[in-house]
Amino acid sequence: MDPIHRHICEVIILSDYDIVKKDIHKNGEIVCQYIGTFTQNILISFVSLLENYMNKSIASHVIQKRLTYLVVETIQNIIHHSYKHPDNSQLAYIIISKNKSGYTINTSNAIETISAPNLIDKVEYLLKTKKNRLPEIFRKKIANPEINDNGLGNLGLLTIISKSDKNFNYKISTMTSKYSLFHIEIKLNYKQ
Amino acid sequence: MKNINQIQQQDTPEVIFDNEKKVLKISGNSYPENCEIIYEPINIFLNEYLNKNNKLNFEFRFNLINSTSIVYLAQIIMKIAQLKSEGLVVTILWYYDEFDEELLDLGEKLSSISNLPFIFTPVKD
Repeated sequence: MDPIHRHICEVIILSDYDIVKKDIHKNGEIVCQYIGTFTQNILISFVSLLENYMNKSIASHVIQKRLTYLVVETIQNIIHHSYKHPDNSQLAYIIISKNKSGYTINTSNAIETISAPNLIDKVEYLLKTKKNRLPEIFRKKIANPEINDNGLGNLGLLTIISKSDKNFNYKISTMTSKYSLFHIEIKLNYKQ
Repeated sequence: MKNINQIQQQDTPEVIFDNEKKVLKISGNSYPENCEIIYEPINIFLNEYLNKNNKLNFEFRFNLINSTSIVYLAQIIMKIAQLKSEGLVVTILWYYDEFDEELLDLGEKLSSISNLPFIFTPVKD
């Protein structure tokens, strides 16, 4: 990514981050957040932070557990599938927030625009599938377990959409001619 | 006791083989960046062990497990199912946090795809 594209993308991601935070503060509060480069060590720290918070939370253990699973999958989605600069740095964020009805996970990261149509196809297919069919798709996938060339199981998006009970919104918006913003919002209601 | 996973981190499980009881125990978190470094040594151990033995017990006691770990685990379970049809005597104990519906559901799915009977035991904190 050349310096001009990089600057434009960073300004857009920071602006998106500010808009999401302002929106959260209207009727809720931030539980934990991270902005910057995502690595496995960041994931480990973030999970510890979240588990520590959860120990003091009054939300049901079932919801707490599901939230932690979702955070692991969404952060690993950023680690494995978002755009990174040649020096492995990036600008992406995750915000976990809560309000009267439940928890929300917001993430944003850059992707190469060329990969957007394939991503949209995958997400739309899962969102159009009936909620009760998603566990069966997962079951079929693990009955024929395949690891791709990158050592991944390719079940992250399916897991995220299934565990969120399809309370999953996303947007892909063009930032420059080559790079787009991929934003996810997952809602987890206290009452399931 | 044989320690099969030498990598002790917060995102990796403990993998222990108890030779006296013939039990392979996998416990804790499994959400590493590279799942192969955890599950390949388990595959190597199983290949060596099952060449000379026809009885094995599993104890799974996961806390957090990511989707890629599940695929690696499913590969192991399917392989065990095939070996059972060839005469392997196997028992599988699946422990799960009593509030972790996801983990119970995962165990039920793995049992269902492999036709292996799992013994499910909820664990209280």
